[in-house]
Amino acid sequence: MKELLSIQDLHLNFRTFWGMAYVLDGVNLTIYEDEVFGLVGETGCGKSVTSMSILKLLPSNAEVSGKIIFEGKNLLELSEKEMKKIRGRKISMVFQDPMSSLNPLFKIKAQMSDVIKLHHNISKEEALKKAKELLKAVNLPDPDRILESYPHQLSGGMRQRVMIALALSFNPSLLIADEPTTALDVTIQKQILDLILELKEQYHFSVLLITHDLGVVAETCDRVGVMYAGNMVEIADVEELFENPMHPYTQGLLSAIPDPRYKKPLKPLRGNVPSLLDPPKGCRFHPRCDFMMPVCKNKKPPLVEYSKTHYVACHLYGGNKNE
Amino acid sequence: MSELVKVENLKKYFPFKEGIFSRKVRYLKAVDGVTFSMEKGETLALVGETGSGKTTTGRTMLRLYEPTDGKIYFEGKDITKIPLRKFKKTRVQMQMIYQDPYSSLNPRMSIFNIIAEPLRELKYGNLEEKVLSLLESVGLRKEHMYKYPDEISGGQQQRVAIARALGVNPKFLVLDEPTSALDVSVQAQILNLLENLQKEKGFTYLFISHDLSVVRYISQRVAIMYLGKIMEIGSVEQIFESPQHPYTKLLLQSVPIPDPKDKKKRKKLILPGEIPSPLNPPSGCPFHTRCPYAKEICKEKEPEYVEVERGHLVKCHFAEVIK
Repeated sequence: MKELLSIQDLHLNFRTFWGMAYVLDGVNLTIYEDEVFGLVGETGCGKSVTSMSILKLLPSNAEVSGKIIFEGKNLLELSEKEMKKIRGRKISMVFQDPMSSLNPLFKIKAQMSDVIKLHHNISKEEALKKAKELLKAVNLPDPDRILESYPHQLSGGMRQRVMIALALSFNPSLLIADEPTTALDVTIQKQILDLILELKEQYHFSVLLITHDLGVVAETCDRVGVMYAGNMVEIADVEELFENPMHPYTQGLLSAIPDPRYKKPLKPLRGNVPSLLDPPKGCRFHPRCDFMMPVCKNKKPPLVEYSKTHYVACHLYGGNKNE
Repeated sequence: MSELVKVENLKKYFPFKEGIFSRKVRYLKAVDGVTFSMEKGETLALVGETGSGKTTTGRTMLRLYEPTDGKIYFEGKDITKIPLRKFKKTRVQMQMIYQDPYSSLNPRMSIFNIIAEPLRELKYGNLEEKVLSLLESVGLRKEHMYKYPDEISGGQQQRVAIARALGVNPKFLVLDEPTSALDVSVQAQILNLLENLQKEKGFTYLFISHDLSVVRYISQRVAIMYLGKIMEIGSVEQIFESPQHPYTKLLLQSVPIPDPKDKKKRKKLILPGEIPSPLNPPSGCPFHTRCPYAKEICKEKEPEYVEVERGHLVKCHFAEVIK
């Protein structure tokens, strides 16, 4: 397996009216070629911001430090001009709400050919031809009609397919999909996820799938990272994570989700997600943790390798390897 | 057990005008002949995709929309005939909890005033004491009483909405996607709270949801809706373990299962296409445009309900043939 993208010790703070918000607190993760990496966590855990930092789409009040290595270059050090060559070409992104990613005033034809023309330097006719091919690739019936439509004339699922088609137009090596199916019905969700997996086989790109739905993770991802309050708390192969979750937060999440196959008792996690303006010291999960030890209040546990396929950041397992 | 609520051939059509001088009136048949009954203390889940009419059914049952046709019985009385002024007394016993807790709470009112408002109307004695006991029954504390909705978390907001509904001693609650705006760990808290309250006070719930895992957890009976009609209704075991309608079967297969090992065992069947517009519903069986088993008769004739097992009704021409 070859490394495609590696995030090392990524810190991100936002200067806000109320003070500094410590949004990412040393995130580490590696995405390999040809894999689907799932990033899960609850609202405000920093999963979307992580992907925004990869593309450097951060607001001006953000302070970033750390490294994001892609093709041997640290993306955080690149100029805006160099970033433009990567954004949309080598790394492209699909967002949650396809309606707000498309301009409601223009036909799909204009929006697609504009993007394709700009990046490929080709004529309008060629761009339209290419757009038609792409729409066929994402299984949209009757591409001619789609090209002549305005975004509101398409359903949510169709709009998301258009966005995926656009994201694919430059054969990216990484596709970031930020909650791509959250706004869609389950039957359409299944169609879109299957489409992404099919296209991945065909075009050989890696996928960074950001989601809060552990069912979606189980069905589509190869490896998973679990985030909590700006920390990566556990990274493992998908089967291992569900079978042998090690971090108390991961365990808590798994016992809190209902299973459609049978009725099992739900054990909710105590308490609430902490405020990032004043995050708990030490391990950020300690106020909600059932296995809290004195050390958890003072020292942040590092993400350590428990086995080749399993990394966890918790003092419970600290003695296993590094210490 | 006795019957609390019964709906007979309930219809809700929304008229809209088109053509020159709006002379032509067309109808959007949001709810088109729905019949079911609910026992005291049970939870019936109303499941369906966007636009299937599940929310409209719930709201029409409380006469938040006036029904176009059909009867609604509450404790044996037909409530569709009561003049609205007098209906207030009955509606107090029927409460609704909405999806987005923040927009259902007035941001200018303190939690105390939000919960006390309906109690003042009923001329309650000691408000402070009553509000406190309501807060405690939903797992909140005295310190929350004088906060405002934007000062508490989404899960706590939903608890306040539940407390407000409980204050008037209802018997029947319509829960419209009460957890879909919440994170999974908080969702489990709210589901457990709803279940405990039901056990304590014998509430009857109409649980509207698109999330089949949650439905499996919370409900005893399930009705599957499609384009304003109930396609299949039965106990939770009947629906999840031996679904009969092709739509139910395909819907269940689209639900992501939080277990990566399950992925390999399952057959991959995708429900093709999307739900048609309720403005222009297909003839005959509304599902025939997407049904893999559709025959000529499905396009022409709307199927009747077939009782395949006691309490298990299926609206399909081939209910007993398709296995």
